[in-house]
Amino acid sequence: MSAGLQSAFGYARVVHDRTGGRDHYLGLRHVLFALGVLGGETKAEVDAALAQLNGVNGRWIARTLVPSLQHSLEDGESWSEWEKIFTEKNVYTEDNARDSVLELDDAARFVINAAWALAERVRGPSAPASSFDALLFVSRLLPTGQSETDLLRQLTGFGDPHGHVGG
Amino acid sequence: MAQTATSDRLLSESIKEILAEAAEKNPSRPIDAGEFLRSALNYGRRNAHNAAQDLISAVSKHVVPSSLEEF
Repeated sequence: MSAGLQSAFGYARVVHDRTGGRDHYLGLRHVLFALGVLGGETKAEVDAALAQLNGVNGRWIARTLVPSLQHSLEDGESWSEWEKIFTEKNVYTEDNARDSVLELDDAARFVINAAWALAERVRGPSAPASSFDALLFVSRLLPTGQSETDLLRQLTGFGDPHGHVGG
Repeated sequence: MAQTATSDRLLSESIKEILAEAAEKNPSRPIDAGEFLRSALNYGRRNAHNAAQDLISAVSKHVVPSSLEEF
């Protein structure tokens, strides 16, 4: 095992110990997340492998995993601790979020921006929403089987006389 | 598994399988992070594993199919 992969397994163990779960077995999701957020040799090895996949890099992998991590939570596993780790590892800094939005097509970019605006409205000006909040909001809405029109109405408030935005 | 030995014995079955597959492909050199990721994505194509399956699905939507086939 290379030094880069050993580092990833080491950090995955740290993540598991912090977030908890039903047992002490290291999961693939922990290792995949570690591969996405670590720098140094790990990043060099991951980036080299992903070079042929245009636009996909370790950071993209980490961001993409967030909904899976949330859906895979086990009994006793702490989502708030995961969120702290996302912050520590800058999974959703504004720069990264902007990069993420730039990778999307126009329709997807509109939905993300609308969700961001909605999250800010829900939280209020004293606690501005992060891009992470907005993306999580979208990830919660998308699997519900709503039509695109319904989704956009919820995200933007257009067409709802009561201004109810859900969530 | 000599090439893939890790001091962490508490590994999920999916990790063990991916390490074994990666080791089989390149028995003469240590598995690096990129090879592990590549094997994990292939694992996601074949198995119902939330994170690996979601990841390969997202990658499939993001890249042109030919580049993923060569990956």
